[in-house]
Amino acid sequence: MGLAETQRALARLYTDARLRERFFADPFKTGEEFGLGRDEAEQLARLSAPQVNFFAGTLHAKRLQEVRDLLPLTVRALGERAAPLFRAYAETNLPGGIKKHRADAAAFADYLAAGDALGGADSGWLADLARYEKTWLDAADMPRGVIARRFRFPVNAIARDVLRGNTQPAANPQNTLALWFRLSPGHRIRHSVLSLPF
Amino acid sequence: MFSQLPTLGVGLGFREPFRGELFLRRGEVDFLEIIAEHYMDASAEKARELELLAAHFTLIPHAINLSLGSAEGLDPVYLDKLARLVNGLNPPWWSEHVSFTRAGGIDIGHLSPLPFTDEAVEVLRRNVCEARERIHAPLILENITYALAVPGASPMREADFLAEVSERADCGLLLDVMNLHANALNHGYPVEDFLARLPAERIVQLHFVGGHWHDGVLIDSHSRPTPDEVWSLVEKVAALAPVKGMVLERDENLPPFPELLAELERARRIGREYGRWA
Repeated sequence: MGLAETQRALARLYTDARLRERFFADPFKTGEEFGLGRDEAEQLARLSAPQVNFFAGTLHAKRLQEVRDLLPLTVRALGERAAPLFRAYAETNLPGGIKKHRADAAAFADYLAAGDALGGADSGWLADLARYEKTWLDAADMPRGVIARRFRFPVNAIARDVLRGNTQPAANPQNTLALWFRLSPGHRIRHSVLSLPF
Repeated sequence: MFSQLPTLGVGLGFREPFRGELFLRRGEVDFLEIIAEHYMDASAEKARELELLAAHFTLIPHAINLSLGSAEGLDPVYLDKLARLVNGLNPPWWSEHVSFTRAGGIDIGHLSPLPFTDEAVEVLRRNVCEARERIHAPLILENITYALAVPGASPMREADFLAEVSERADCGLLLDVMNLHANALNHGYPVEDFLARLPAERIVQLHFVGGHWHDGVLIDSHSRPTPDEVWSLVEKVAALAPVKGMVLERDENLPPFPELLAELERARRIGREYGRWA
């Protein structure tokens, strides 16, 4: 089996937990799915499943570590839920390219903010916090212009609370408008937040 | 060729959280290693940061996703962007890894091991040659940790594989002694034998840092102070190889900056003791 074929098969095994499980349960049948001959499947089946699973786990951990650097307050506020939520998201999302960690952070924030991933009484402000941090990433990439976002919760106050170590801020809904603007590539981002009285 | 490279001394892997303190105490850091990808397609802020760093430090670009071990060949768009960055900085050398990170359209997201085979040596040689046509600075290649042994025909020992790669691709070596320590413990081989098999004259730079244990496996998490066993390896390598630089590669769980400087000072003393610098 040539190195190119081996690497293509490995890349799929490392990044797809369900495929990995099926492959080690039946290497020949699953190997056929990605074009491996019997000898090739047999060679790959000699890999240690625990070792491959361990390596796949380190890939998730590495991704979460990068996302934590980009969405620090969101990941801090999630606490113990961060790792399992990220794992669930990461199984079906695998960005690539030079800015893959940035794309991962943005997609994870979208995953938290959309659907039912979060659940619980704090899901509203957590989703807003994720969107807020994601917008800071968008603003950092903007050479010039304005970004406006509306939030259901006072995100700037929540962000300050989480930054100070309070991962369960008392967050009552309050319509909030946030603006990010940059005049030109040489200028810093300016940011303004207004929580409305209704 | 490698003996003619400049001696840089001790450096830090640059991390944004300690940028302020770094500038306050820049006399205690000889050079910086930067993650190349952080400055490719850079935002205005990152471009300014790079300019500021380059104005005050010698920068060594450390790339992590060129995927020199990919049998499918290099991504030309990525290579072009990396070349512009490295050539623009004109560093004494730049570094990448003996690994692959991409195959079949999938970006794995981390450094994945290669089989220690002749075919893999040839893939690396070919890709390094292609990179060298675009990137003018000398290249040094880093050994990675590996959780699994990738099957292949007639595999060599890891040290022999690294020696073959460096000689056939005519590259220097970036010897990560934490990775060596982890692999030696996790896969049960003696480090002295490993070191004896490497071409010492090609070892240009070291990485050092501490990791942590997880389920009986030593992980190169770059998250702890350098342990005594790794310091011992730093000394062994400084004794036998004409290294030009040593870099503390701390990524996680960053301690107060003076603790990082204390590790640099220890590395500096080791280099001085073995005549690598004054």
